[in-house]
Amino acid sequence: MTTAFSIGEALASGFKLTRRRPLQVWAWGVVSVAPSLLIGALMLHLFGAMALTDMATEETSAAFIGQMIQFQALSGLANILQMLIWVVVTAAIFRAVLFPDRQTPFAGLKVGMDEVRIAVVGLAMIVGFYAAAIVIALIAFAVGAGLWFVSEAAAVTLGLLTALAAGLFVWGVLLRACLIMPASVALGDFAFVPGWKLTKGQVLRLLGLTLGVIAVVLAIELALLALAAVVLFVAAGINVFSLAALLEQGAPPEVDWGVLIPWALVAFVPLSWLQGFLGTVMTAPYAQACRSLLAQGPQDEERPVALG
Amino acid sequence: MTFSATDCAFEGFRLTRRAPVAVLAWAAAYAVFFGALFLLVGPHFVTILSLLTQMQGQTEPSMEDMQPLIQAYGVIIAWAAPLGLLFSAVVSTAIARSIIRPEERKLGYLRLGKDELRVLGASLIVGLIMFGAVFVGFMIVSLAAAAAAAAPALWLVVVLLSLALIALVAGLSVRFSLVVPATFAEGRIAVKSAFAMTGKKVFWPLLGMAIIAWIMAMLVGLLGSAVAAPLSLLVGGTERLIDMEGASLPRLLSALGPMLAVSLVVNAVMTAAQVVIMYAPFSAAYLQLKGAPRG
Repeated sequence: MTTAFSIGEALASGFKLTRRRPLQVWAWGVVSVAPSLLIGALMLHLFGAMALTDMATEETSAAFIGQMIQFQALSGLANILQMLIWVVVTAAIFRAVLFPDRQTPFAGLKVGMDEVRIAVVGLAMIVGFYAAAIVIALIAFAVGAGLWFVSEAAAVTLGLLTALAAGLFVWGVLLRACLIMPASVALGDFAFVPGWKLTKGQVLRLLGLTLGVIAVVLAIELALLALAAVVLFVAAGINVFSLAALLEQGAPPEVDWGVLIPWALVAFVPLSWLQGFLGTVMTAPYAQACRSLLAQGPQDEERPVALG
Repeated sequence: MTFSATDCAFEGFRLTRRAPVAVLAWAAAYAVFFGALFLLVGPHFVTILSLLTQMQGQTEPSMEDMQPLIQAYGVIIAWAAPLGLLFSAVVSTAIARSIIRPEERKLGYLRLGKDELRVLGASLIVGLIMFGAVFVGFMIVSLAAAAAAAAPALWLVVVLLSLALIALVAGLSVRFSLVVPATFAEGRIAVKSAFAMTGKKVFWPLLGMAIIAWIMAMLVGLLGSAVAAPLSLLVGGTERLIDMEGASLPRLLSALGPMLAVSLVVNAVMTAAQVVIMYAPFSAAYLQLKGAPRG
């Protein structure tokens, strides 16, 4: 029996999940955006008292450098926080798709073994990706160097072919590995081997799914940008196409934070929901694909994931 | 016999929950070790930091510039290498003891006896074998690189040989990974039997376990640095050491006391946590391979 998953069903899973649990999706967006808010608040705190024109001067003061160092350190912390939040939210989305009937307090956000597994698998994939990239670059360099003295044209051609082949190889490996994370949550274990085996013969289908996800997200973003442009033009007479020209003239010398902050807080509600929605649309399809493939696998073992 | 790689990979966390006082004792031991090392070679360490900063602007530092740097490194290595080897044997034996004989919990499993000396001996043998393999491999790669300078087509051979050397080092590291628990459990230097235990069926799960444990240690390091960052911001980072070149130890301590204390505590706690996460899985794997029930 051949196993396969439906690309359409997988793509739709994010939308279905959003319809089923809209508040959870918003909660995921809120926590995902929180580090960016933190960085924004930090910038306000550190640079708020400083006029923008002072920052633009060529001579930088010791106080400014000190504040920059402080800002760099704190934004580094915020980046780590952002990675942790990504892990927690991804695990929550996977669980919501893999175990739809489970009760999920706190929008399914928690720190447990699923999160540890996702973090470890994610880091392993990043390390593996860089290791593979270094090895490929070394081999490409060696092949190029070997051929350069024989024929420069042949070396360049072979170098380009190697880069192309390497690119395709890396994409293939990433697609083969993309179900390891959801499989780890589904099976309650580090599913490096089961997740890899699950994608055997599914690379083209997964490529289609990935391209589909990218197309859907781009379409949503473009539609929302167009909507925002129309609303701004109709409601406030602002032409977004002339905003770029305005920005080229330089930033305003003083920012009215008293006006900006309430507007930012108002914008936070829809923007955080959008963040949660896009995250769900991008992540849920892989959990759905994993769920379908696991359900079609050999049934001789009891599986923790709900089949079907 | 087989073992569960993913089960064993978490042994460090289980150990921390089962014997938190022991892990704290190892952190304290690291603090004492780092502190003692700083008292012995602290001014030389500051010299290196300062010289390296000065050299950043120079394109080609002369031999005269390098002389004090080499001297400072020499003093540090002369003290740190033997003390580090001995201390590492003490800690790795303590971790193996906490898993293989958990009832011997006195002094946080820390001892300096026959077991530790056997582990030190076994580690030295493994270190020498690894050094020999790397040295021979490096010589072969260097010869191939020299040949490639004349015949560029050989660069591919150089790259493949280098990758093979890396694979050999990784492979040997896995094959020798059970030496410490085997030596401790069997009460003899068990390099050969530990090597024999890690054959075909066990090799890949053991490598997978090591990778998972290493990544978890990295994650703990990342989280630890996030937690420690505000403390470092309060007392200042190690860059403050650079301005203290030539200062005596008492002056260093009086000028940078809080920074050094925070740095010492943070490094000790983080190192102990990471070492436990990375070393403990191998003792658990050894026990499972010897037929102990899975945790």
